[in-house]
Amino acid sequence: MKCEACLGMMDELIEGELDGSLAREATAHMAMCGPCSQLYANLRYEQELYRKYLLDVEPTPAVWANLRSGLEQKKVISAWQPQVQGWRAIALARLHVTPRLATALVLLIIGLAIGILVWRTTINAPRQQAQNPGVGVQPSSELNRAGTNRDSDNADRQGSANHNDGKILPSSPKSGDREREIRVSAVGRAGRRMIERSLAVPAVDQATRRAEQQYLSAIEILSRDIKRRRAVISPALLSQLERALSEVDRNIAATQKVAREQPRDPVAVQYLALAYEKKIELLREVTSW
Amino acid sequence: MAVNLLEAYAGVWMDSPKELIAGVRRGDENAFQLIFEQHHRFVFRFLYGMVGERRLAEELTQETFMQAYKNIGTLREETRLLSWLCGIARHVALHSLRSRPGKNQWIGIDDQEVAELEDAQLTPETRMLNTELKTVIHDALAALDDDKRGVFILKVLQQMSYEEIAEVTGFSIPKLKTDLHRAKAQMRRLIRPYLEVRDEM
Repeated sequence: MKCEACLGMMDELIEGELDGSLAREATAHMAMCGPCSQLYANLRYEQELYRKYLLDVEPTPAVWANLRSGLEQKKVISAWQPQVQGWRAIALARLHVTPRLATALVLLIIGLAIGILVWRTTINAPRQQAQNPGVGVQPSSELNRAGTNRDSDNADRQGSANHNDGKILPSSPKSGDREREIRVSAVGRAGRRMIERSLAVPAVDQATRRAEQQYLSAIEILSRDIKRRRAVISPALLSQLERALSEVDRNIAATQKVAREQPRDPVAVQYLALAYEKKIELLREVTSW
Repeated sequence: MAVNLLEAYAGVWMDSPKELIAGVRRGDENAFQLIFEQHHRFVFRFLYGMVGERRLAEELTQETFMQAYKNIGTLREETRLLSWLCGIARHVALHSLRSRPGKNQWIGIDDQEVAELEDAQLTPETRMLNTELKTVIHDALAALDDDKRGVFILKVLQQMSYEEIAEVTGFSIPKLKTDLHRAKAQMRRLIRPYLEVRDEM
């Protein structure tokens, strides 16, 4: 190849538009021709400068936020709203119940039951504290003793017993005393319900977020492991996995949105947990390949 | 944190454009957000190259995606999503440039904007040269006519193929090659003196 021909092809070579055989010829020529090689290097340098000019420019995160609010203002995205409201239908349509999923569901329900038990125990102590000022006579040692009870009914019974010890009720109950005992006990329950109501929402919300963090940590670890092993996973399996994961991710996003909007709805929280479980199950399966 | 992680996963495990477009047509906000996440940088950079001003480029990026959302039903070949978005962005940019008062609509790159683009690890001399170079490229781009600038950005700066650029612009490939050749020559004329000074250093 002559220098003239090589010069004519140089731009196309840099742009990657030159045919394989011509590109090889031009490269071979430049390997032997100093001036052509120098010019090629200059053009490559120029190209890099141009490319860098735009690569350094980054849009701010406000673009999406503004776009979204713009679409909302113009009511372009009104079609998005029914989908959020009909989340149950989406979640049910997207979750294919397999035997594994059913097992996970059962485990999840057991986990939730245990979680609720533990949660009830943790709110017993403040409940007991709030119960006593209404009665006003229980000594602090008794409070501590009541606070260590595991079951709420036991705590209730213990509370009544404590009131006896605290000299509101005489040690041998008679018919009038029994009425007072019931009345005190009722006061205690009402107080407990009030406290329970005030504590429950943040407690549930915090518990949900804590659980979510744990799920996300697990997902992060598993994802990192898969990323490391991507090279050894066959492309067909990888593409299947990516499809399945994107579906699960979308499901998580949908359920997450609903759970955020309705933090008191246990079904919403349960669906969110289920979606995370599904992702973990999927990732675990891949890591076991 | 949860949202960031989910976004990160969405980035790692991307849906195919076809699935995403089908999702947007069903009214799925997440699918649209994924499309935005995948392509908004490319679109923004193209628009920045076209109009030369960051804030305006961001506004035009929003406008591009808004139009894309409204007209997603008209997209026939789902695999050509990026070309389609760039086509919209090009129209939006040209409309903005032509509707502005004054013929030379480009705004000079200001020092603050350039400073934001600099690498903090560079020496002061190199940083000064880079700042100067960016200003030179910025001004040279501004001097190109709109069509040549568009082709130059898509081909040289964003490395699209001629076929894709033809889809974006609606021009024939021979015209694109001619425009690009002229644009490169013009850019070289303006930038060469600066590069020579840099080489001497």
